[in-house]
Amino acid sequence: MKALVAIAGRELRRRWMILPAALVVGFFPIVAPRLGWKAAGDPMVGLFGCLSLGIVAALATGHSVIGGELSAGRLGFFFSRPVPWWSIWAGKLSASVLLTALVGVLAAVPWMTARVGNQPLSAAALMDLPGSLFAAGLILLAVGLAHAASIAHGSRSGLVAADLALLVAWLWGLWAAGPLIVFGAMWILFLDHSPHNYLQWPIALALLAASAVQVYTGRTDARRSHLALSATLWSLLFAGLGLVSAVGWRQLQATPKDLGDVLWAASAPRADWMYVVGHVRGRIGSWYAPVFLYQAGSGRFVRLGIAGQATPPAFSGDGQQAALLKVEDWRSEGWSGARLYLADLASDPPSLRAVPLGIPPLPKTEPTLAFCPGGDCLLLAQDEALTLYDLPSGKSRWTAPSLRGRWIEPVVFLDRELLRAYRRTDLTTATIEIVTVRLRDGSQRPTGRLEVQESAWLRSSPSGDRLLAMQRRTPRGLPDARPLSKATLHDGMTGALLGSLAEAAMDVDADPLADGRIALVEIQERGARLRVLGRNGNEERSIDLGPFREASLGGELEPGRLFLGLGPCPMFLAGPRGCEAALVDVESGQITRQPGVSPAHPLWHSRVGLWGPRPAPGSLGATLFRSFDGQLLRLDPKSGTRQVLLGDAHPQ
Amino acid sequence: MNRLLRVEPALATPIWSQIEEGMRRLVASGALGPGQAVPSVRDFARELRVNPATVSKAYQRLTEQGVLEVRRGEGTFVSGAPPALGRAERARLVRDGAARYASLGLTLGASREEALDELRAAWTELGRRGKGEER
Amino acid sequence: MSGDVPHEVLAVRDLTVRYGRQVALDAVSLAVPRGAVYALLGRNGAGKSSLIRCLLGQQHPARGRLSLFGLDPWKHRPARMARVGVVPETPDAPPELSAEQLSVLCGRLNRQWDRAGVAERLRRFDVPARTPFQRLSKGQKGAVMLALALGHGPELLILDDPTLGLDVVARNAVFGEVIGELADRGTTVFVTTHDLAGIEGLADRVAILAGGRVVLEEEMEALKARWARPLEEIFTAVVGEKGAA
Repeated sequence: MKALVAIAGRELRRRWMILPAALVVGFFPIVAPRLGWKAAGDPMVGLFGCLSLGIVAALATGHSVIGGELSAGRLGFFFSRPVPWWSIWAGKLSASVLLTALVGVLAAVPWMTARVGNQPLSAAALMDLPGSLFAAGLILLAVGLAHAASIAHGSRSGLVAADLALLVAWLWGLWAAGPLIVFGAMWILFLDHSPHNYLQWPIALALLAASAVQVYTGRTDARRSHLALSATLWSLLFAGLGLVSAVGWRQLQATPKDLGDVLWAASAPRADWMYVVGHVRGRIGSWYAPVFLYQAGSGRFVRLGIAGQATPPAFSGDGQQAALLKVEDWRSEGWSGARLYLADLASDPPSLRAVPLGIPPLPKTEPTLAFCPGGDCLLLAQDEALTLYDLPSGKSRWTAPSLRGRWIEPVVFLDRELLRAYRRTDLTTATIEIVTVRLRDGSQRPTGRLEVQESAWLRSSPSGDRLLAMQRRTPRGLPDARPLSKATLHDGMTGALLGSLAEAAMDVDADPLADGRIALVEIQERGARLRVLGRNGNEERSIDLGPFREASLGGELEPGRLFLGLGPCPMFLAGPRGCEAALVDVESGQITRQPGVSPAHPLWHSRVGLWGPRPAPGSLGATLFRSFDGQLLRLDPKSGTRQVLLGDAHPQ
Repeated sequence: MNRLLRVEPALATPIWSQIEEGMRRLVASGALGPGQAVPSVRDFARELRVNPATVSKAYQRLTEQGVLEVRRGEGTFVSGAPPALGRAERARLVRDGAARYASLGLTLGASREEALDELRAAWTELGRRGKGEER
Repeated sequence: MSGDVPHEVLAVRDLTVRYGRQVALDAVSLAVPRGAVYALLGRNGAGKSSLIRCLLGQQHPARGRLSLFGLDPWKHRPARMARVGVVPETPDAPPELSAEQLSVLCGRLNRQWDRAGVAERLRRFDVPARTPFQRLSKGQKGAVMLALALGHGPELLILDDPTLGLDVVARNAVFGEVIGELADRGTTVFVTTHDLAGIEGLADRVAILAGGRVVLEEEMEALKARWARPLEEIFTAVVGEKGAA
């Protein structure tokens, strides 16, 4: 130890002059303004000085402590004395690291604590543990790199070419492995956030280890030292890259059975294929939410990627195909790199293939996909445009821009030839235009219009002949006024008002039923009611739900059996207090409590708050529910019994 | 001392032998008087630029032969008295020297008279010097 | 090494060193008994430097065994260097430190250190104690390296061409110091040199390295008796016969 300290001490004393220079840099932003140079009193100036001097210190000392002495033939002085190799290695490198750290501190503390400038950088941000670790890693990395460069350069051998080639190869490997590294690192380090603050550490440690091997093996021989350093360093770096990638790859091999809790699930109309998003059980579970197409009966599945990188898939009418868009990058300005993927669910194993789109979707708003009834084309609906693509080629058949307005939900396929779409004519008025679009050529024919409040959403009957409009109005001029909701019934084609279903309610929600009737939930002061209305809005039945201030319709499990959420049942997925759920039999009026579950289909996509279409009554999708602790359940409409399909029970 | 005795490392004769002969000559010619101190092994070796072991070996032999004497704590000195050798020992040494001289003379083709004349002259010369006359 | 003779301070058996295709040392064997002054002679490039580096545990040979006081110097370098004083061919002391500071530094790198003795030697060599090493003359640098090599009282002194580029006075001073060590402590000396005349009186064993091989190894006395010629001539004759390295 004595030798180590002596060697380190000599290195420090050799370069002591950089410390006063660091103090000068540290005080510069404080002193310079007083001498007339106002612009220097900026934390950025101080930061720049601190970083520059720190880098200079790291590079100069890292380069000279061992590498410089080796190429000058002076390392033999220490090796000829009874000093162990690790004293030489550790003594010199620790001096370099210590000196760099001291330089950093001396060049930063004065102006940081004097609060130079309008926005003082908090010294605490760098002095706390994560900040110190980050800075320490950078210092080690800089010193290590300088040392390695010095050894490589000083040996004057052709090995430098190999080093450069391997460096390029490793960097490429790092870039190519990308998400594998992220997931692997998170798993290995027990992180629940992105590991990019720590990436300098493995490289720094590899450099340190390689330098130790180099000092032990190469001793005073410059060429053997270079060989030892390079062999060790690249072995460690490539092995590390491979290992972390393998761990990451292993994590990404999750199957639906590995899901610990399910976030959303929705099902194909006439098949038992569903799409599932959930968190993988295990270490990085809360960070890793893969998306699958899953067939519960057989266990077959298709990987679709990670939540947030793909739109929910649309299923074709026969349930044999699914389509989704995968997005490379989503930012507030928009997204980039959307690619269409088609899944063939009939084949064994089910396959996923990319289909190039004739016109790429617009980058601003979230698209919704829907198969045409014939399964030979795909509609892509966005606020700004509707576009129809031929399948399987992906060529665009037509596109219908929304001009000054925007297309709104829903879009209804009337038959194989026509669809009905709704457009707000422009963003300031409350007029909705009803348009029929010919699938063959995209020609539009306006068929009607309706006037609504600014805040309104529409529901269409499956055949398109009836339109429900839920509207909400906040009375002006009255403080503390509660918004008033109402529901109106319109002709599906012309938009003509056929009747008012509910007025001046605290809240209202309505859904068309399979048999053409209408289910409506109305909240008034006295409580919630479920009203069943005929095709033309005439009340057939009224069921008292209880003194709830909130209620929402959760779909028709099978014709005549409705799921309701009573009380504050949120869109979010945590187990709420006060939320009750119930199955209601429309005919008998019987209400059966169904605690602890909510419908599994996504009420909105994670990015945009659009109401999605409800699953068809009687389909598997209508019976998919999610328990509050994340299990995916199938609820039998008649008996109410629950079958767990995926996910683990978590004690609450 | 350097002025008095030189060794030639390049010669085939071992250095210890050169030192021994040289010391012997100095004592015989009176250049080194009885009781006079001779340099320590260390100093002598440094002066001559030779291995101290070599000097040590020469001193050892000279001491055995009574030319030098070691006084513990004081150093090495030239013996006060002539070497107290046994008759047999003295006889052997003188016979050795004679044999070497005779061999030299014979191989050079000198006659016995010539050799004896030279021997007499050298003996006188050295003996005269030994009695303290100026060189 | 089996059959290790305890009085052998330094032994080399079948040492082979290669640099790529080039063979620097080819199955070299030699042994240095305790108390001997062993001179290794050879032209530049004969392999002397490689041998020294292997002896000092700074290079690992391709083949062969080395023994320094009975142990492999590569594996046991720090322990061996405690008993060995090294004067390299090129002075390698930290250039910014003065002789006095170097003595202090070496005092911390060695278990025992005779600081007064080192200072005395430096005084004897007329080396200014406070001048940075890089500003000393060649002779003074050599003197400092020798003083530092002797400061921990080594049993073996390894000198790699210690008088290279020195004037007569400096050379004499170096040899005088070594002789003093020999006389006072019976130190074993292993020296490589070009100064054949200078080593002639000092060495009691000689080995000649040519083309990576030991072409002669003999007691100096016996060698001189056999050849009846100065060492310089013997060297030229031997190395000339085998061809220059």
